[in-house]
Amino acid sequence: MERHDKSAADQADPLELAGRHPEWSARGPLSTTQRRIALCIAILIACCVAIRPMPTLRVLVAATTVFYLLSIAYRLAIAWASRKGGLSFPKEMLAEQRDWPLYSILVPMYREGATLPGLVAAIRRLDYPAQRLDVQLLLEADDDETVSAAKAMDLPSFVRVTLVPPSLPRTKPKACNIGLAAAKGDYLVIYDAEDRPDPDQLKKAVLAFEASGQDVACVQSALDYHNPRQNLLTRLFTAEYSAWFDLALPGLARLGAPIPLGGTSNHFRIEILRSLLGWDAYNVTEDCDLGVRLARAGYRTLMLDATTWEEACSSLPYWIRQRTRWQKGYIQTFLVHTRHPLALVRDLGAVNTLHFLLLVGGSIFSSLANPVFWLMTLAWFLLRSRGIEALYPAPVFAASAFCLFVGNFVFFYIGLAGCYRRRHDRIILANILMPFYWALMSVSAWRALAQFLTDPFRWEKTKHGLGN
Amino acid sequence: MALETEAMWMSVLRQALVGSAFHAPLPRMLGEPRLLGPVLLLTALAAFALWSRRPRLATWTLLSFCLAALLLCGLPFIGWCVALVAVLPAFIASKRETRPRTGALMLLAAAPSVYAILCWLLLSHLILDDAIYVWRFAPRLTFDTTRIGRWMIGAAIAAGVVSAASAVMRRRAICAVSIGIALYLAWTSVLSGFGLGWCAPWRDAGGAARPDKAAVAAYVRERTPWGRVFVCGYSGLAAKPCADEADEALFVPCLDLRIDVLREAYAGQDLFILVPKPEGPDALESCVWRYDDLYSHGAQRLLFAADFGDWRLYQVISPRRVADGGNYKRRNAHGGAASCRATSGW
Repeated sequence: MERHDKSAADQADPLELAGRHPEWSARGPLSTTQRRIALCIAILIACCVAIRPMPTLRVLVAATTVFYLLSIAYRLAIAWASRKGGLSFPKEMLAEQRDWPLYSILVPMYREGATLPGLVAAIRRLDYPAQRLDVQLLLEADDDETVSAAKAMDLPSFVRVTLVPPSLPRTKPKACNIGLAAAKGDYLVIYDAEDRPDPDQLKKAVLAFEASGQDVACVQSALDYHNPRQNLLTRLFTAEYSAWFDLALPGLARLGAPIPLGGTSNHFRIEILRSLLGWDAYNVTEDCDLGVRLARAGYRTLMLDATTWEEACSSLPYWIRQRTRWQKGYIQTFLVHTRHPLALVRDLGAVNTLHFLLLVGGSIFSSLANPVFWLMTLAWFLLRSRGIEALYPAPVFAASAFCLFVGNFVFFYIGLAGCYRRRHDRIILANILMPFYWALMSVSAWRALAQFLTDPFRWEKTKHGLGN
Repeated sequence: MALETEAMWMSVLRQALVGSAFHAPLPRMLGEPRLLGPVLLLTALAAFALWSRRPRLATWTLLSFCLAALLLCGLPFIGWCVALVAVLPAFIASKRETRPRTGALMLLAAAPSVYAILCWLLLSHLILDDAIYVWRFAPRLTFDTTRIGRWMIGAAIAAGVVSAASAVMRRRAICAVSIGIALYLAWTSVLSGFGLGWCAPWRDAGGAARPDKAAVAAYVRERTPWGRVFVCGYSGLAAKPCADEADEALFVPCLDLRIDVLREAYAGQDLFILVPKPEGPDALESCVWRYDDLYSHGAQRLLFAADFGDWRLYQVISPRRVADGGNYKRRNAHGGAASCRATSGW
């Protein structure tokens, strides 16, 4: 513990972004204008439903159907664009003896003392000169469990502990901002405590940065789970991750779209990250927000052909909590970046704005709307209600039927394709049960919406080590 | 012989293109695939060939979706689809993949087809109240060798001999072409044996001409002011609308031939049934094939009325009832036809 970096913790202002650019931060969940607009829309819909219920509901159903059609086409386009995969490099380049740049690794930890030995072993396994590594364990000062575990361990020379003073909000991005201030490297990457990165990942990231232009600010590695076959939940979770990291994100990168970064294994050019004032300490999916901010600042993110192995949450209650946090963060990110819609379009361009709306806003909206339409479909099958039929004029009915029969299958098939590409052949069959997983996502989305309104900065920590 | 050579596959594709061009106007779900079916088949074969040269997820996905779409294109294409799916395991095995990998590939290939069949069953259930409606004719297909053209058997055998000889002589292009011909002829022979020779190239596969609805309407109006004509089968859906709206209102598409239900729903009206001759592509429209229980649902009341080209009109003979169709008759007393739904609540 003699390698505490107290000066960095003291000097850093982890809330700098919220202080200097409040419009970029989720500290104020809804701006005044957003509140007014939301209120106006709610009143308008309520009045329309009260005065002319059937036409209003028909319009809402039609609008949602159009959204679903767009989402299906969008997901297909992204998956198709992902054919080339991420950046890869020949082994000779990785084995080359050269002067590798100093690389900072941030590992925020909270009540994860038990994972420390595994983490240190994973970092030792990295194929990168030890003297060029600058690893910071970001520990909460009042987290006695982890601090004691770190004290008890014989940490390698390139690992130092940075204590995060206890203050609100108690979030991972706040810790990361403190780590960023104390980081010494040219590049920086974040790992979670339970992460097991591919040994050559850092070298690949350096080569990717060197091979690309200065406008590439971030390189994202794929994430995958090392325990996919633990139970049904981990199978479905892994299938979802495969589709996301092996089809969706490479597709988005290829299309030059803003990328909602994964929680870990995102590599940055440290100067650019500092110029953007790091992460938003109030956003519970700070990675997604940062990905959009990078795009708005004119920077690109690339996908790297390297993997970090994580542990899939195997407990349903914890999974719900984790997903609630992610969905809540997406709501925060969506609202932060739509505070000034014209500025958003100006920064991103029309196409990338559409990417952002469909990807971030769309995923939340579909998770919220899905149960309504599933229940309506189920009710129609059971009751053959004329009232439900009346909501679907012929063209809307045709489009809705397309979404039901084709759209759902497209999403299912993308899951299969993701598993295949990731070579998760033994869990591919679990995709058949994916509709139940989508239902769980909807439960989380509604929970996230409620939590966003009542407790927007609450960080529901994912518990790891459940499978061991 | 290197089966996966590109030249060979391209030759097979060319053969398939020629052969598929004849498999055109058949009962099918995907509308009018006069071109779509062959194009899908060709694309599937091309994807097959491309994947054999370079296994890529995109080509495999393309293949699997083509197979599913082929399923929806009607009977001859279903055969191609089944044949391709049957070949897949051996094909994947040639790549020496692991068992889980083989399973994953099979799942990727078969999932769209299985899903298409499930959707087809569900839609049949929802629309026709009979999930396996389309397949009801299948048990009636019995193989009859006398239906197969002798010259066709000879040609198939000759093509097989040529392909074997050229394989021995390592003339791959000739071998590929002759294998393509042999396969095509064999497939057509199978169809002919099952009485489905109308999809063979030498037969006129044009199907029944569209019904002359104006003539039918004139015939019906001459006899009754309260007529209603039910046009049976998928062919009926393609009938050209009458120029006169009042005439057009006489006709009701009908995919569910239940005379007793029709009589109840259209009480008091004079009902007619217009059916295509069950020949050529319309063989599958045969009411006797389609509706096993035709007579238990009131078909004994059908009386031949007149022929209209390839279409035949029957009248439903019913005893009059006093209260029948009061609203309908009152509304139409001044001429013109009203929507049947308004009066029957069907």
